Amino acid sequence: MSFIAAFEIINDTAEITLAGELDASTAPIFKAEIEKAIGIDIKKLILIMNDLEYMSSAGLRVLIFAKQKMGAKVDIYLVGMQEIVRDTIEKTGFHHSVIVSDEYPIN
Amino acid sequence: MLYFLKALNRIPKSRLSRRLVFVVFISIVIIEAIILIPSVIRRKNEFYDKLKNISEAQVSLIKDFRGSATNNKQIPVKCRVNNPIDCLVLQEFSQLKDFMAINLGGQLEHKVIGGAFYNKNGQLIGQFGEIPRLSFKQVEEKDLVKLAYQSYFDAAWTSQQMEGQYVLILRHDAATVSLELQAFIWRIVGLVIIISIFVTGGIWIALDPIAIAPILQLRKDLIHAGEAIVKDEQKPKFDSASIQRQDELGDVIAAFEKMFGQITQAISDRKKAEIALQKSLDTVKAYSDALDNELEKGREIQRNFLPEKILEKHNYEIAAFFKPARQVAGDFYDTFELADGSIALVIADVCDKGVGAALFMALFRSLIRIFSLKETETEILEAHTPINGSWIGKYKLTNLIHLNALQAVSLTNNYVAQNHGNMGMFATLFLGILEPKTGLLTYINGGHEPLFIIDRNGTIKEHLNSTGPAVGMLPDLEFKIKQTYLQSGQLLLGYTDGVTEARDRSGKFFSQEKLLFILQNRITSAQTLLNKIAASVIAHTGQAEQFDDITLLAIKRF
Repeated sequence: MSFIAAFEIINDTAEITLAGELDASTAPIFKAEIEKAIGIDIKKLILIMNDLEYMSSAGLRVLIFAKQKMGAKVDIYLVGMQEIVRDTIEKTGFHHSVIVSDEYPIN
Repeated sequence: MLYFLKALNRIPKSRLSRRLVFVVFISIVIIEAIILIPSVIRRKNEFYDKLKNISEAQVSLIKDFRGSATNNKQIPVKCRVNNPIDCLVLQEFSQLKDFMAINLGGQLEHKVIGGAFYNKNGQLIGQFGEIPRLSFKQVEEKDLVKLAYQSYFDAAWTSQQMEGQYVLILRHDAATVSLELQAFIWRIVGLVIIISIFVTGGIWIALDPIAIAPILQLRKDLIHAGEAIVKDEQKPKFDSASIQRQDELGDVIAAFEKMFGQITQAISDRKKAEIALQKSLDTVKAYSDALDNELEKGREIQRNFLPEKILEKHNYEIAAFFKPARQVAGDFYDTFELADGSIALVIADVCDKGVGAALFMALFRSLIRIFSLKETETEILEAHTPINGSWIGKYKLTNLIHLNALQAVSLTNNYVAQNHGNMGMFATLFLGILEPKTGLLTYINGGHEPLFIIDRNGTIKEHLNSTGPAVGMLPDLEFKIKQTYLQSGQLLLGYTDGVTEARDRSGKFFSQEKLLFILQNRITSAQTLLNKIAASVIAHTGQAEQFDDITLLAIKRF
């Protein structure tokens, strides 16, 4: 299964829609999208993950990379995670460092 | 001359020339036949005209000298009219059949053999000799004055020619006409055959140098060219190359030369490309071999970061299984003894795979070991025992020792997050400290898969779930500590997600359910259990590529 990451910026929000399987071979694609958001003055990074079917530790590593790079100023939202992805994130305790939500956050 | 003989010898063998010559021969024969038929007809008419001309001369002779030539000895012909003049004229004309045969060249002879004599009204005056088939009616009404019939020829002189009074029809013997005509036909046919033979023979001989010899040369050259291409030899000397011609055959030879050039060029180009490809393949292979070699070295070094020998402890059996997905792995396990005899158990999974994960594995493993083994307060107290022999104050020593060792987790977390934070590297890690005497287990599960405490019947007694986040993500994370007991006969099992997330060819996970299913059996030893799980995971993966490192660690208390 292929992996797709679509990047978009709306005002002070960066939005990345993820679909498919995020593993060691596709993580660099995701990382490239994250790097677009670094250095831009944004307040929110929203990851829409409804169609993300699998995430390995390599994918999680990119999320940690994003958190480390963006620091406390930027809130990271994980939206609409499937159970298997949620398990991976919760197992490692990373969900404490981000905002997990089922619905798209509306300010 | 020699060439001519050689060519002549070659002709019958050449199918092409045989066919060409045959067609030419037949064409000539057909053309000659088309010309011959009208000329035979014309010739025949000429012969009849000759006969008629002679008869005409004789008739006019009789007319001019009427009476003088009368032969009295002649038996009179029967006269059918009463007019005596008419009867007399009949008698005179009847002499014609008695005239000598006249040779008209070759076998052709003139001889009148009969006749019929009419008056202008069509009344038959008399007949003599053989009676002509040509009738008065045909002569007068149809204006027919000549009629050839079998070996006879009838000719008529109309009333206008006979001074308006009579019609004379004479019958000639025409047998000699057919004879002479046959002779004529034979002459012509003979001539045709001779001409045909000469023409076709000429063409036959001329064909050899013009077409057959070059074609045979070209054939030989084609065979040579084919052999040269197959055997990959230099361009052979082509006989046909010496032929300089401006016709179609010349074009064919030129095209052949060009084609051979193109083929050899294409082959040589391909060969060059193959050599270049082989060269680059060799380079890639050498590079890949070198890389493999380096990875192999890395693998050996990494093995050194795993316990060389699994820890042996009285009353306990410890077993481990380790299978990296690539040469180097991100998973690791560790077993070592603390200063007070406690057993430290580590199972961890550094995120991602390959060389990067392997480097961090070495870092995590080393940090956990160093921080766990650092001098404890107890050791400090013992090293500085007061003069009275012992410290008076009571300490819950075990708890303290365990707590101290578990500090290794947060120390490692902070080290990695602070020094390598921008790499985003982390590890899910379980560190447990077991007091052998009591089975007291104090642990931190940093985001790792749950470990299981299983009794000897295969019933899971406890899940050692995550007590904190994965290690190394962010600085100053909180790792909570939990305690439990490993009772006699119980087994503690730890695994990495390489087990539950092992995939078969269709992408199906091995799953935790399947792992739990395997556990539901009587457990004899830690090693047997790990072997069973490993075999099942490997069987599940089958021909599919192993995605992640597979690590298992188990400790059984007797």
